[in-house]
Amino acid sequence: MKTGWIKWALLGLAIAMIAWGAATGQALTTLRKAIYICLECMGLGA
Amino acid sequence: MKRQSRRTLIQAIAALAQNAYIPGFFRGVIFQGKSKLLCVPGLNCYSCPGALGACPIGSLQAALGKRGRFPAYVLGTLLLFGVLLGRLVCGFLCPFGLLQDLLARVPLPKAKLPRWLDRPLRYLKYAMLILLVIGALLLAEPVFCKYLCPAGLLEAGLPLTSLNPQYAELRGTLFYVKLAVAVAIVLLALFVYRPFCKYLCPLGAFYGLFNGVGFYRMEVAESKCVRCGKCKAACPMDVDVVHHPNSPECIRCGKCSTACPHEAISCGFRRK
Repeated sequence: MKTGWIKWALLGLAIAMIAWGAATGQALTTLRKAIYICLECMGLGA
Repeated sequence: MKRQSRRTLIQAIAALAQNAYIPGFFRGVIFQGKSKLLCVPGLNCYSCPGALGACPIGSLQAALGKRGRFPAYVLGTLLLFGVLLGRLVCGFLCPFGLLQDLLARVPLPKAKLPRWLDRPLRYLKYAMLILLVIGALLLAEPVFCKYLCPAGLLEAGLPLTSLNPQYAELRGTLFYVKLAVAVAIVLLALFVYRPFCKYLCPLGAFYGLFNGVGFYRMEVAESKCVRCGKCKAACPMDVDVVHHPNSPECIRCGKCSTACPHEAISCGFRRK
């Protein structure tokens, strides 16, 4: 069975998801998380 | 230039490019520019003073924590890297992978875990992936970053607490627990090749799922292969290259291809 189409379908899905996420402001969630110090990542605050 | 030296050079350039905000390392602050809209492909803490992009695992946990909202942006980015590159990211672009590769070069006796222990431990990274998703969804907490991620402590925790007294004051039990985890992984990496990638990394677990279906593939030419086993012996991730050239464990380092005396192993981007 040919499965070569799967990667193209996944690529299309990935691009659609990024575009939808960016259009609905989800990229800003990433930005907001990333521009402030993440105390949990550093193991601080507990 | 030899193939492995070329790989190390690419790894170093990738690590530097992802952490190019040099003033952060002197001032004890992090970069706050717009490039942090974008996720980097490898495990690179966004609180590292030099980080120019966002860590995909940290971003995924943050996005999952926003309940009732499907994390399309971060998942789409992970899917994009996965389908285009698979675990080539681990072998060439991940700064934490580079660190472990450098530790593996320290001339100390090297060990391989026995098969009965190695095989079940390989599934731990999938458990980590599930755990971080559940933790983010149910607790709205970045459990992987908070309790385990050694990159966060080594790239962000240690430099920022050393450079900035206000962070140093916040060191508590959690910091020392994470420090112990990070030290254990670093020490283990001196004796076992890439223990974090093999057993714990949720990002590697995710990208590994695409090794078999993505664009970047490895192929073994049946007509050239004489089953000498040199590729399997050369593989630091213990992959049976002839039978499973696109195993989820393969980080595409290319050592099997270099070791093959008959040039039977090829890798690259495939359109079909």
